[in-house]
Amino acid sequence: MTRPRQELHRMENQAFKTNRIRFYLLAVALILSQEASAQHLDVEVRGEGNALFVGYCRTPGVVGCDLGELTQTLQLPVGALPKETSTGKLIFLADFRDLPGGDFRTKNPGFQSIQNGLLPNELLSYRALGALKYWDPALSSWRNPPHGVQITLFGGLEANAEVIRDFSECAGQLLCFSDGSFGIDGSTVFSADGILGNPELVVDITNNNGILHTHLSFFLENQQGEIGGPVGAYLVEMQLISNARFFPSEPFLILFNAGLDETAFAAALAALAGKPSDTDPDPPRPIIPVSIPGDVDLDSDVDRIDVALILLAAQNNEPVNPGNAMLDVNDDGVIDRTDASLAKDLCTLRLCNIPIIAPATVLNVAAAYDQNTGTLNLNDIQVSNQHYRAQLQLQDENIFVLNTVQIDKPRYAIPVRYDIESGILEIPSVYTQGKNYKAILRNIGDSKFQLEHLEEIGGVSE
Amino acid sequence: MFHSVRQIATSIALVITMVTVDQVIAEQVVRDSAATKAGSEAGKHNSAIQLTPITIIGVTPEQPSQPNTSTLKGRSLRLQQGNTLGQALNEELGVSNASFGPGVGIPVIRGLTGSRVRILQNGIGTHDATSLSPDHAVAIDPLFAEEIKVMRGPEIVRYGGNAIGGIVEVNDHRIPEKRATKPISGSVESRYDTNGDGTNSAFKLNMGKDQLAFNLGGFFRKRGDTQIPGKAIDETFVEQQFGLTEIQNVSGKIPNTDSRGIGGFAGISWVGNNVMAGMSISHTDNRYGVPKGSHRLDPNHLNGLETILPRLNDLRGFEDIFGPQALFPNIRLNMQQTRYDFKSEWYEPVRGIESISLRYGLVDYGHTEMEGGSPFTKFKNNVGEGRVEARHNAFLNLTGTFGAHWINRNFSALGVETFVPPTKQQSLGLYTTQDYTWNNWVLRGGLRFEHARIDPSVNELKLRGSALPPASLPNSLDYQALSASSALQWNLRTDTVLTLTLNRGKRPPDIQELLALGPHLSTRSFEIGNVQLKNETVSMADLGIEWKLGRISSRINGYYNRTDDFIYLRNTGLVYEIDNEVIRQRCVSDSECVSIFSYDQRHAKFIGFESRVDATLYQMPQGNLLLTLFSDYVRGRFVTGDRDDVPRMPPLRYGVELGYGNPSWNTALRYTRAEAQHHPGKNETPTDSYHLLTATADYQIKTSKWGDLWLFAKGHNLLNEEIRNSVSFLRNFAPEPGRSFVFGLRASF
Repeated sequence: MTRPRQELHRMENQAFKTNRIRFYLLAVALILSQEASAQHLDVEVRGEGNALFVGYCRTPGVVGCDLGELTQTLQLPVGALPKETSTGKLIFLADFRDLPGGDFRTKNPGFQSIQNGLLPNELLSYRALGALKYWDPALSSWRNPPHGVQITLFGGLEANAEVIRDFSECAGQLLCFSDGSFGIDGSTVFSADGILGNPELVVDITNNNGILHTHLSFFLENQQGEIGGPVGAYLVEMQLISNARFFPSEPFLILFNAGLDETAFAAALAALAGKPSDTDPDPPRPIIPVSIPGDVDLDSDVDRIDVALILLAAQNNEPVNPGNAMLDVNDDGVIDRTDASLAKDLCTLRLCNIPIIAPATVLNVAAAYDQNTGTLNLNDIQVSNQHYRAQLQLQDENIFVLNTVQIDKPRYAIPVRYDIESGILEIPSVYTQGKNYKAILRNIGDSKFQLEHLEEIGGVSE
Repeated sequence: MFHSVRQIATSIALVITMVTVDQVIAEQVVRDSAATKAGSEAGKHNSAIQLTPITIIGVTPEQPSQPNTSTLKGRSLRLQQGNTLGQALNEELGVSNASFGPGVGIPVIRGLTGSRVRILQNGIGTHDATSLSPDHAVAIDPLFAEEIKVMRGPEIVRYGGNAIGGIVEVNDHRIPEKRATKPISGSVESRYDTNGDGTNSAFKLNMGKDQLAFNLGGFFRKRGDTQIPGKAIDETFVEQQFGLTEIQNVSGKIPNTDSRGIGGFAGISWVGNNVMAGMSISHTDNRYGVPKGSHRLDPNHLNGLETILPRLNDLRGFEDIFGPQALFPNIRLNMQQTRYDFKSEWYEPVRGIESISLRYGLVDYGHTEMEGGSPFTKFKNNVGEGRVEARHNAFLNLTGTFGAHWINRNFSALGVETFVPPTKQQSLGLYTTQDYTWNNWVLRGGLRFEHARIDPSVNELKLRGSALPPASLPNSLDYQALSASSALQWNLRTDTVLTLTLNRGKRPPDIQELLALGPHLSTRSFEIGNVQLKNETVSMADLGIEWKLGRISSRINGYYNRTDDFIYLRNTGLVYEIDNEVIRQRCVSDSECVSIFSYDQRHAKFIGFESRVDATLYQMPQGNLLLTLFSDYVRGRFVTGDRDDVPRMPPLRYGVELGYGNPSWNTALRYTRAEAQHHPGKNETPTDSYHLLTATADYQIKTSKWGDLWLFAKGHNLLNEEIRNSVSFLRNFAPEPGRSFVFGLRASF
């Protein structure tokens, strides 16, 4: 067998293995679920090349990935997932009553990326689209929401273009927003009239392993900000954007249950998604890299959840099969408490659930380079007071050709700067292959840029 | 480390120099006395009585008596001594105890604490981390204290900007100041507290021969969880203030409030004729817990683990990661402090100079915050503080001091809760105080110039795990401050003194006020520093009167304090979600978010009074019946913006104490009524009124030549009231201790 075929075979085995693990662990999640009336699936994000993709959460063992329970609740075939019939957009489900915050606010759906699903320190934001739609249970139809009803989403502000980190512009404060204080609109309003407020806000930044798991804050309220709204279902639309990818994700929908029972909510969903048989049974997924021994939920560390999942499998006398082989940590053909003990020994985190303090790196930079494709994405280029985003393609060893360029708004704290007179393109930090570099390119005409200087730069000390 | 060694060496060299000077003087004195002796010998045969000439050196108190100054010592001190300094001073007028659970007790003077109240040990600061966070204990164990002096109001001229609210000075005489009268003397003390099964024991030995004197001391303190009358957590207010709903509450005690401390010191002095020089080394180890729930935002949130564990039938062998301590870990603080103190006095070096004194202290402070037994943040504070002061009596009616006072500080915090970067701080103050006496008037004045430099060791601050861009920092920050004080004392009659004190002083901003950036879990906040803060300027007028009329004596103080550019935490209206490490405008669940505050400045004013009347009701052969009435109050408000209340002010207190006793035995019953605090400040919750009843009794047994034995007992909070302390950050998590009885004995020989 040639080496590539061996590799392919290994990858196929891995894919098969992880699929089986998923089903196994989803069954676990089914047992675990304490919120039967509040099913949700997190939005799983991954990047491939220059594009961003979203899908249903498939990180096994993690709350927010309880696909089995969800499909059962919604009377869908196992593994079936809802999509809007007319557009093919994925529909994510959430319930305003699911958390202690109250009946008209929720943190779901969350957003997750698995290990290496995204680049390290990749900044993810959302872009709100369309207009708010309302499912009227009395009329059993989708229509505009009652006057004044809106969903307000509060995203992260830390990578907002208006963040000022220069204390001299912040009346001495180490941090402020554009007006020298903290008066900033950090909300996105989904209304019948479209998107109001700030249409793009931060979701979160990935860690050094490309992992992200975060939740935003959705509120059902009126225009005066008073919490509450009519019983029914609400539908919003958004897409995700990244500072390291040129293309945003496909738009997707979030369907909120505001006081409907399961049957009524399923009806609202069915009106969008059609019959269960129309749903996509299993969307394609990327190959998950070989995990760390003991890391059964593939979040790149061995923590207490891994140990608990192994203990649960041992308690249920689960036989080892290709789908759950990761639970057999000592590889003796049996899932037992010894495997859990071994995983506990492999757990190196403080209290086994809190991430170790990873060394800080240069974050939130506007440039990323994909060595495989030779694509250099410059997501924020400042030219005088104007901002652009552009993509360059490596042609020769030191020559990049400008593929695309478009005017854009300022997005990042440390933009790439281009000086028209000298033709110098200065990239303060470009991320590639786990390292950060400072780079200087010169415009040599004919949409070509020559790399003149490249220097590795260290992380920011904490 | 090398730096510290060098500082110690320099201090020793200075002390030796002063000793050498004294030896030269001593030789001179010997020669002079020899000459005198020769003269005496000459006249020996002509005189019936021979007198040996002696030199009497008068020592003027460092601070003349002022109505806003009080000293706690002797029997009163022994009866009030508690586990913490704040607890020991809680009955002093104008002083409250900012507890953070019973392990922490920081004195609050007239509503001010932290960076605004200097706590000194033998004239040098404690240099612990109390100004950074209210859960950090004072690095002084009150068991050693021989006297505790409290100065209310600004004492900036002599002690620097951080004394803008007052001074608490603990003197334990660890460096001997006089020659030993006996080869060995000392005391042993032990006490037992029924609340929390607490034991405190301490000893002191004073030894010496000729010009050398040694002091040695040690203490051990241990107590269990504090017992309380009701539930530990006030669920209503915790939900209102922090949004926590699923509370794990406990009745009858406050879990994780046990503490243990051990420490000791050794001091040595050379006491010459005109010069004394000495040094001491001390070490304190204090381990305590803070009330459960106070550091975790939502103890029920375990990233999903909480949904798996109920399904597991057998957790044997996995208790270390799934047991209660692992799931809901205790927060413990392990604090260590090692001090090297140097002291030297040179009396009458030249005519007109009464004394020259040197104090220098090197403090190596550190504490580690532990979660479930694992360290998560380590604070270090290495400080050198010195003072050289000359006291003159050059003129008949004018006496005073000239001094220089300096501080070098290296601060760092490493780990999870590092909201302040490593920073160097240097300050130098030059000051003078002068007292002019004219008939029955005394005019006191003081002036101080201070320069402070704060130098963060990093150029920018990055918030771990957040997409927030790094915040740039200045290279260094310099502050100059000129402070002045004046006091006019009018001795109306021999038994009546009227004093008007006017103070104007400046406090440079502290490290955390300038450079904080990050979540601060103990105060459930996210703090943002401000590097353009100006000096805080206090202007205070304090009018006091003391009079004595037969069996009645009285003392009343009223004050008005206007503080310009008062540094406070302004709520930005944004929140920080701890788990996701993101900044938002609003948060779905308050329990998972903390409010974001930035340091800002506003004008504030404080108005208050302290009063006390002592009367001897009856004088009987067996003893005297004494009555004391007392009251204190302070109201703090911002005078700009929305004129809201300065948070965490003490309530109005008043009460009565009835005592009966004589020099051998005493009994007293003290009742304190504290009114409700209806002005808790923005985003704070009010506290209820309470009644506090305490009783004390003590008896002194003279055991002839062996020494004395002193037996004492104290009952505290006899009504077993639930007391929520309005100056405490944690009042809704931990009430003050319930009923307790303390029994103890002290033997001195």
